[in-house]
Amino acid sequence: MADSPSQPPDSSVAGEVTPNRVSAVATPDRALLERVRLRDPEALGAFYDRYLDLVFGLAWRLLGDRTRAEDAASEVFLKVHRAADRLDPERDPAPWLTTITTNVCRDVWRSGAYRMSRRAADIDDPVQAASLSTGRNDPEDDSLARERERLVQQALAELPEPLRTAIVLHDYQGLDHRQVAEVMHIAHDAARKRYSRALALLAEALKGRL
Amino acid sequence: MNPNGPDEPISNDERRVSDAVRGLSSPTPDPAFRARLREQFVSGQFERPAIVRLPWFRRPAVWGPALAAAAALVVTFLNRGPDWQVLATSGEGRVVVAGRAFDAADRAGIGAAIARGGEVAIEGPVTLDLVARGSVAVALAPDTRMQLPAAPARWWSRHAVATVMDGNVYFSTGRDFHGATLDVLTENVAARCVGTSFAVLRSDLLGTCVCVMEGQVNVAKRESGAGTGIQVPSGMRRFINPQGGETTRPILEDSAHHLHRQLSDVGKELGRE
Repeated sequence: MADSPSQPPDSSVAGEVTPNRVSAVATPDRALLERVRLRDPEALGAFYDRYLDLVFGLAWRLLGDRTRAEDAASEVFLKVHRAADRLDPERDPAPWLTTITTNVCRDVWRSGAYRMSRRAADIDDPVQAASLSTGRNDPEDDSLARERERLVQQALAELPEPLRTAIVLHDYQGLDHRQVAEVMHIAHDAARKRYSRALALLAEALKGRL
Repeated sequence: MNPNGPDEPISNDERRVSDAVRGLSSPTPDPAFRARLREQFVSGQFERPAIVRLPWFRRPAVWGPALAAAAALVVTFLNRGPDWQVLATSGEGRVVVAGRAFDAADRAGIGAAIARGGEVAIEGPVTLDLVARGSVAVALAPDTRMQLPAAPARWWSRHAVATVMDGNVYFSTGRDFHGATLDVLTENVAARCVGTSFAVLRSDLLGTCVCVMEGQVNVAKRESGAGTGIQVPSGMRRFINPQGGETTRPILEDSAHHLHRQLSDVGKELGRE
């Protein structure tokens, strides 16, 4: 399913899944997905409300940039709208959306514009900064959390894209290696190796800074 | 092995990093964007796609290797040594190049067939003078048969191997040959030169004689391999008979004469003047 966003036959892979953002999104009921297939406006709205944050968050972590994450999210939902009639109401659409989002981000990386303007995370974005608040009304904790996020996102942005994808899908998105392998269209062992390599590089980059 | 973990046990640093990635906040889109995209998704009326996927031929991942391959092809082509050119033929008879026979007077035909080397046989009282401009000149005496190599390349693969099956062949190297090597093999001799003027005379009855007019040529028995024999200085010849007997004596007058003539004829083409 490289670019054609038809839902994979085994997108909900059996296997151990770490507590994750994908499974945190409640699967919509079959009736809603049936209506999404028919592009019923109300169902589309509910579907969108349920999954936008999942798509946007993954795109933001992979691309490290709010504007590009918005572009990617727009592209993902455009693809979903076009392929809605191929949605399988029996399956959880979250892995399908994760795959589409990853493919769209890969297209962004391949674009000349991205390569020209690649830069570290825009963590000073006020909207993002608000979402990083610890909620304890402690400016020092908030500052530390923001700095930590900035360091991690910056280190992620320095990773080669295949390694970044592997660790973001596994640790941030919470997929297991088998699911990561399916999303990235690579072998299970290759997904594990990429993750190990990404972890080692990230640990090296962040040594003594966390 | 944990099916959900990395390949090897992870260090404390890696564990900290993994936890830090897991603990990253979930960024959320700003409300205006959220509302705008929702409207588009629900209505199906999208703005022009924000991400235009480049066609395959414009992707760096494609044209990068393609450019590198093209550059490699160009450089490989430029690295080629010069083609052989027919400088002169004399006498009446035939010149056979890679199985194709040409009248000795057909210089254009011989030149086209011989440009990158190949097996050359002289039939009858014909002499054939060839030059790879700036690099090597070769003169084939009547009734000679040899395997002519392509001239040494310009920057790498600067090694050429000629084989004299029968007859007399005279070699002179030019300015652009500097740094290259030329091995001349016969049935029983391997001669290696790095810049010189010499003759290789070979017959079934007498064996092989290597006559050195300029520079030095390393002459060895064929089974020992090129470059493993003795250095034959200018003005001398090394003779190895079919039984393996070896002698070193002054150069044959006739060979010296031929080599002088060759240098006089092709010195300009070899960049020696």
